[in-house]
Parts: sequence; structure tokens; C-alpha cells
Amino acid sequence: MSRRRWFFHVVIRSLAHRKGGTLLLVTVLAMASSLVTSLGIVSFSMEKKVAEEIRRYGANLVIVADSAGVEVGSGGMNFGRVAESAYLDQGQVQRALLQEPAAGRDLSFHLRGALKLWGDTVAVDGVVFPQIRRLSPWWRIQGTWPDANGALIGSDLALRRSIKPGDALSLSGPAGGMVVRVTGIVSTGGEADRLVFLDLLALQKALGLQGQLTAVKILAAATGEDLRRLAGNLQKLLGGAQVKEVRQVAATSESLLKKVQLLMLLVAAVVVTACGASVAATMSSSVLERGREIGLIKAMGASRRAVLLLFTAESVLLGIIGGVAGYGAGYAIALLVTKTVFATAAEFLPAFFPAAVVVSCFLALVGSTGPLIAVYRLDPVRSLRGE
Amino acid sequence: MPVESGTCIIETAGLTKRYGDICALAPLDLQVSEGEWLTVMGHSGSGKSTLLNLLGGLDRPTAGRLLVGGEDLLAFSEDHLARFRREAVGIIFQQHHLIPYLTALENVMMAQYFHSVPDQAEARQALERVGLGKRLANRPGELSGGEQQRVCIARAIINSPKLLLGDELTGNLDHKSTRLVMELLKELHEEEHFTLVLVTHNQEVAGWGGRTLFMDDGKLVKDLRHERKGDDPS
Amino acid sequence: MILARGVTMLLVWAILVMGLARAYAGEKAALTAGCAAGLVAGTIFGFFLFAAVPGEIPFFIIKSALAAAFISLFIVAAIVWYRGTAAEGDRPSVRHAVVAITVFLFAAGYGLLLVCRLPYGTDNSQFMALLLILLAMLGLWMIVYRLEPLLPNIGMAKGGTSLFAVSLLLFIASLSPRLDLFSPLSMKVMKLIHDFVHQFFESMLIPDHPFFRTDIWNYIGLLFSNGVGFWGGLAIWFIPTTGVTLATFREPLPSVAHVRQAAVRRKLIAAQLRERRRRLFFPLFAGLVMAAAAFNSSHPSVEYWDPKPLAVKADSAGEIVLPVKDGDVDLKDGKLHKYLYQKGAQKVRFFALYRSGELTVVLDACSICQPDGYGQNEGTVICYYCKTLIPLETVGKPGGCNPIPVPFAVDGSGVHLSAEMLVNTWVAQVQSEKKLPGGGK
Repeated sequence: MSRRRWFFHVVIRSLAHRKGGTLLLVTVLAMASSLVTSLGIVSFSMEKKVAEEIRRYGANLVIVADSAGVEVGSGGMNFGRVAESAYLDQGQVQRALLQEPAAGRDLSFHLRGALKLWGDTVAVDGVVFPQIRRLSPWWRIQGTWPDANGALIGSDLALRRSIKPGDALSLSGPAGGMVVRVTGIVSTGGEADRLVFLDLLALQKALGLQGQLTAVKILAAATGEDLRRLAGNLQKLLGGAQVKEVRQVAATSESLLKKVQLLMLLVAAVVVTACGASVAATMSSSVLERGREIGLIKAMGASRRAVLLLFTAESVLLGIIGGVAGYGAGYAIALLVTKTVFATAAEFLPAFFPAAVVVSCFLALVGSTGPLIAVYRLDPVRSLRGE
Repeated sequence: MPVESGTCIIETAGLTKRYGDICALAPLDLQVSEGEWLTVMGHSGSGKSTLLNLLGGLDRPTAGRLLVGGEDLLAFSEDHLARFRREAVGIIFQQHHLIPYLTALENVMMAQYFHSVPDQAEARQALERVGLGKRLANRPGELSGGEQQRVCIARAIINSPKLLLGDELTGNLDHKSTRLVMELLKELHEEEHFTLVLVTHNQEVAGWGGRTLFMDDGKLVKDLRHERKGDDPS
Repeated sequence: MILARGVTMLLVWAILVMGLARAYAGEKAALTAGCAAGLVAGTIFGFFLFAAVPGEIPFFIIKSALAAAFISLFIVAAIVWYRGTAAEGDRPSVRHAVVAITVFLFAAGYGLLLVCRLPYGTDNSQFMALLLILLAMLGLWMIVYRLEPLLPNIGMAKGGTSLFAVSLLLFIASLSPRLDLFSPLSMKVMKLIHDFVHQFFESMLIPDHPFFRTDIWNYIGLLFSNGVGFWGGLAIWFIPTTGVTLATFREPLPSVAHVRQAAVRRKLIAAQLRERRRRLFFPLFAGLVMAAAAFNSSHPSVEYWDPKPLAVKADSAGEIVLPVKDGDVDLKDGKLHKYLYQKGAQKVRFFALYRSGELTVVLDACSICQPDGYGQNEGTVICYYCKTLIPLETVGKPGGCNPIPVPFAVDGSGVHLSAEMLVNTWVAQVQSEKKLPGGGK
């Protein structure tokens, strides 16, 4: 048996011998690292989602009805919606935009609603297809862009309902029904993947909301101060609406995110400290218990370095086991939290695996520093006598 | 046959050990020849265990000179002393200290590991030699006192030390086990030619050696050379 | 700057000599003579090369020599790997001549690189070289005859000497982008994978393949990312070191069966194990040096002239005018001038450069790389993405990783460009992350 194999054999035997203590330490370490992992994954995937949504938001201005309430968060990640739907008057908006040429021609009208598709409710978005095509050049369309009688369907929805380009959809709303032909499947990685896009006029008719809109997205050429001025001007012209810069919307969700992250960080710090203290306590008592064994090993001629190595290896091994278990548990917790609280799936982030293991090993080593010094100093004669 | 070559393996001059005010070992002058079987007798607290710890490099003397195998232990650094322990001496303890989570075989291999590399076949041979060929895979908890002591002996001789030290090695054994252990030691002593120093308060054990030191209150009282028991099988 | 370079070079020399002194501990005379002769010969040859052959050719020659040395490491590793597992024969004793020639080659390589690292063309480069050589000689003598006994006693692994020396030479090379081997290596790897995947999937008629979902594209896209070339290049980069290290690791130990006493035998084995572990030092150290070289290559410490792009606007006719002289700005100062034109979300970066007696305007991107832009240094511009150096004379010519040229006109008021043409050229020719091969159709 080689020295290295023997070394690990002894370490594993020693850990296996003290089942209770080992289990306790692994549990504590796993708890700490699972907490760090889960908090990290949750905050990281939320951050990424928010950033992604903002990036995908081609427009830089958005007009919504005043009482419609802004969705906090954006796209697929809803923190909540405050008020009932209200509508913009399409004519009023168009007049306002004519008076403010700086708004430019890159804009799209949206009417969000729900229609029944084969008995189920689906979310639909009424748009003017050429407008949205110009505004969202990154949309990947499988199939072709539709004309006024066609529809685009989001990739998630298409997959779930097994709808292919060319299929006819029969949709019915409170004020009437329609049959449209799907010409393309859109995938954006965002909210659009779960929507059906219809022609604005057709949807207005089906919902009985002629001349009504829920939102107007504008891509103005202006930036910074100019954009703010433009938003202010539009706001003056549109009494019953809110004109927001997308940056503002983003800022709301970002600041909320920052607060949540800070809270998470605090909790993590407290738990990690507590875990570190309990690791230290458990390790010290274990070393105290094993004084005679350490004395014996030293009397047999082990150098202080060799003994230290043996005990450090035990700590590190515990740390690794705790870290691996912690990553698994932490990922599960993160999935649960993001699903129940934020209604989105957590990202799979393998980068947190080494982080979890490092946290756990670090805790194990820091916790065992004191005991290791005691091991290093231990006098074989005294410990063998049982002092 | 007692092996008495002329060279000294242990040589002390004015060897002293104090614990605070207590003088555990008064200045001691001692010469032990290579291959000798020496027994140190005395009451508890007479300084005999202290002497053994000093000889085994487990402890450092307060004053005096201590040469083992021609090397001055006082000049050794802590790590050098550890090397001395693993290469030059074998120690058998009273309470047959074994590592509880390792089997008999692994306990012997542990000594090999610290010395150089573990060698399973050699460790098994050593255990077979002390009559434990069938108890290789047993943990110390599953072995009797006498068996545990024999594992300790196998472990102590595995690295072929020049000097074997035993501290009350029959203290916890009944008469029969004691006899078995002593016979084993005698056999090994004849084959391996190590120098044996036993500390005991058991008159019977002392009889197995060829020379007995009597100690009291840290001082050497009597140095006696005598006939060895077991030379005449009884 | 020059001082730092000199100190680095001397430091590398010291490490090189220390390693060689350990490898050929018993051959001090041959070692010293070989090193000294090699250093002088390499330096003289370097000066001769730069004087005799113009332009980039000397760099090309030296780079090729380095590449050959690197490739020869693979052969060394293969031999060591094969020999290492075979039964232990007697190690052939190294002869004086062999030692001398080996160290001569290493020292000559060092000398050549030393010349490259000097500010060539300035008057005092010869003087600098002389000074460095003298210091190097002094160091050589000091290390071989004075310091050597103090060095820890580490054995040299088989094949470790060349591995060690070449890795140090590669490290020096990595300090200058013109000689660096790692970047071209990773670029080659990326091109290879690129071409292969392209051919492969093209023939499978993606993207409208019935069996592939759109998601698959995300994975295929991974193969085109910057990472592939880097990691692939890294893998190849470390093959020789890993090979020698592993070979040393599995080297069979000499037999100890003749030793009767078990404890003594075990002690011998332990000593041999320790000795073998120590022999791992040089291969591992070489690995570290190679890693440092790869790091240097991906984080070049060279300061590139890379001004912040100046935002420009088009006038009502859709024309952009860059005045030749505008306050501090002088387009004809021989430095590159970067500009940024933005239309809606579409940004276009381009730069103007005065070289070979005329102005040229090009996009700050080429048609084959990600648009990471260019920086300027010593008669070249460098593509940040693929680290290709492009001589200033060829800026304005299309093709390869040259910046994409755009039509422009120069008159008294400055350089005139069409905004629409800029945007069109950028959109049509510049790679973007969204544009996957095949997927963009």
C-alpha cells in the first residue's frame, strides 16, 4: 500500500470511527455551505434575470395607463402587480406623439389581454406587426412574420400546446371570436415566449376595447438628459397616463433586488459565523478526547508535521463532504425559493459548486485552527499518562 | 544466550529530571551494553518511568548527558527526536495503547508508515510471529489484554529498533498472559539482538532479565547482575 | 520600462542557469563554457539577423524557431513517457560535449530573445546588450561556482532540462506580442474547430433541421465562443509538461529486493519515493512558467495606444465630417483616432489613421473576429480579440483580420464619410454574438 493511500485510509477510518461527531460536523458544514450556495444562486439568478429582461427591453420609453400600475420587476419575474388594468386611449397617444417628433417613429402599440384557446385562457398581446418587428430586431422567428390576419406564438407556449407554424387557432374573447393562422414561432428567452401575438385591431375587436391600449413602447434616439426631457414633455401631453423611462422601471426592480441581496448577505454572515463557532467547539472537544491517541502517535515517532497533516486532512475531508452535500441542498433550496417566492426557475450555476466546497473547507479549517495548534503542541508523555 | 558485546548503547552521566520542585530523577550514571536485558524495579514514583521516557526520547532531561547509540539526545531538535523515536527505539506501554479505530494489522502498519512506507505482508508476518496470525482484522476492542500487548510488541519491533523499552508491560495481565508475553520477549530478544529495558515492580518479570536496577525516590539504589530465568525451562 | 525589462531578463537568466546547474551538477566547466558561448553567439546572431533582414522577417524566424522548440518538447515528452515505463536501465552518463552543446542551444535561444527585447534601432542597444551580457556572465559564474552548493538538492527529471529551459524561453517570448506563441496556437485551434463545425453542420442543413430544436443552437454556439480556442490552446500548451510530469510520477523505482532487513528496505523505498517526488519539481515548475506565459499572452502588459472613441454626429445630409486639425486633435499625427457614431441602438466604431503619407479610415473591427477593436503599438495595430498584429502599412487594405476599410473622401475641410454607409458596412460585415454561422440566414 502506498503512503498516500495509507494516509487516506487512516483518515477515513478515523472519521468513520467517530460516527456521531463526524455526522454532526458534516451537517453543520453542509448547512453553512448550503445557505451560502442557495443565497448565492437565488440572488445571482435574479440579478441575471433582471439584467436580461432590461437588456431585452428594446424600448427606452414606455407609456402605460396611470392606474394600470407598474409591474414591479419585469417580464418573467413579477414581484406583484398593484392595480387593476386600465387602458390608454390610442387616439390621444397618437396625437401626443405627433406633437413630440423627438419620440421618433420606432414605437409599438400593445394591448395585453386574455383570450380563450380551446377552453383554456392564454395571454395575448395585440401589436402592429411591422412596428414590433422594427422595435425588436433580435427576435428569432421560426417561420415568417405574419400579416394582419396571422399570429405569432411564443416558443414556450408553442411547445406546451404543440402548435406549429401553419396551424389555425380559434380564439374567443368577451366581445367576439376569431380564427388566426400561426405563421411563426418567436423565441426571445423572455416574457414573449409565453404569449400569443395578434393583430392589434383584431384583438381590440375581440376584447371589445376599440381604440384602447395597455402600453406603448418607444425607442427614442435620445439618451440621458434628452430622454428625460422627452418623457416629461410626453407626460404633459398625456394626462391619464404614465410615461416612464425603462431605466426607471429597471431601477425599481434593481433597488429592490439590492435590498433583498443585502438581507441575504446578513443572514449568510450570521449563519456562517455561528457554524464556524460550533465547528470550532466540536473540533476542540474531539481533539481533547483523542489526546491519548495523538500522544501515542507522537510516541511512535510521528513528526509534528505528520500529525498535523493527518488532522488537517480530516478537517479538509469533512469540509469537502460538507461542501458537496451543501451544494446539493443549497441548489434544492434555491429552486424552491425562486419557484415559490419569485415564480421563476433558478439558474443552474455550477460555478457555485467550488464556492460551496471552498466555504465549507474554509470553515472546517478555521474552526480547527485552535485544536490543530493544540495537536501540534501536545506533549506525548503527559497525554499518554492520561492528563 | 545473553548477547554481551562490549559497546555501550546507553550511556548517561548526571542525568537529572525535575518537574518544578520535584526531583523525579536524581543525577544518574548508567551504562548499558548492546544486547543487554535490563530490568528497572521500584515503587511507583521512584523515577523508573521517567528514566524510560528519557531513554525513549519522549522527554528531555533537565540536566546531564544522555547518549543512546552514541548520539546525544540533548542536542536533538524536536523533529530529530521524533525521527529517533521512529527509527531507533520501540516502546511498549503499560496500557497497551493501540489506535482504537484501526485493526491489529493496521496498528502495526501505522508504525511502518511513520517510519517509512507501510508494508502489509511484513506487518502480517510480524503479527504471526507474536502468535496473532488469526486476529489480524480485529480491532483492539475485540482483543484480550494479552493479545493487545502482543500487538504492541509486534508494533514496537517492526522497525527493527536497537532499543526496546517496556513500561510495566505486564501490569494489567494475569499470570498466564504474563508468562506468555515474557516468553515471547525472550524469544525475540534472542533472535533480534535488541537491547531491552523493562520497567516493572513485578519481581517475577525482573527474573527474566540478566541485570536489575533498583530505584527509589529517583535514585539508583542497587545494580544487580543475576542469572536469567527461562534459561532453565520450568 | 527598459530597466524593468532588463531586470526581468536577468532574473529569467538566473533561474535558467540555476536549473541547468542542478541538471548538470557534475559538469561545471562544460556548463559554464556552453552557456557563455551560447549567450554571446545568440546575441551576435540576433544583431546580425536584425541588421541583415528587414521588417517583420527576423521576428518570424525567431518565432518559428520557438515553435520548433515547443514542438520538440512533444517529442521529448513522448520519449520520456515511453522510456519511463520501461524497465530501469543504467542512465547513460552525460558527456561534456553533449552538456556543452545542449546548454549552448538554450543560451543561444536566450541571447536571441534578449536582442528582441532590446529597444532595437536606438543607438544604445548595442551598449545595453553588452551590459546585460556582462551581468549575465557574472551571474552565471556566481551561480555555478558560488551559489550552486547552497541550492536545495533537487534531482532533474528525465526530459526535465529541455522542458524547463524551453518553458523559460517561451515565457520571455510571451512578454512581447510579436513573439508570443500561445495566442496564435489558441487561434489555430479555434479556426480548426470553427471550420470543422461549420462544415459539419452546414452539410446537415441546419438551422431548419427537423431534429434540432432552437436550443441546440445555444450549445453549438458554445463551440464558436472565444473560450474554445483558449481552452483548446491551453490543453495543447500543457501537454508536454503534463506528459513529463506524469512520466516522472510513474517512473519505476530501483529494486531493493537485495536488502535483507525489512525495516532498512522500507527506509530505502521511502527515500527513493522522496527523491522521485523531488524530481517532480522541475516539470511542475515548468508548468508554472508555461501558465505564466499563457497568462502574459492573454493579458499583454504592452501599453496600447487606444483612445476613447470620440462621439460624432451626422449632419442633415447624412454626412460625417472629421476635421483634419481641430484644436489639439491632429489626424496626421500618426496615431489612430477612434470615433463612435450611434444611430438608434446601432453603434459604429471606426478609426482614422495617417500612415505611409496618407490618411485612411477603417472600422474598428474586422470581418472574422468579435469586434473587440484595435490598439496601436510600435508600427502595428493589434486586434484585441485574436491578438494578430497588423503592420500600419496594410491598414486600409481589406482581408483577414485587417480592419474593414470604408470609402471616404478627403478635402480641405477634412475627412468626409457617409453615415448610412458606415452603418451598412458595420451591420453587413462585422461579426456579432447573435450572428452564428448558418444561423443568421
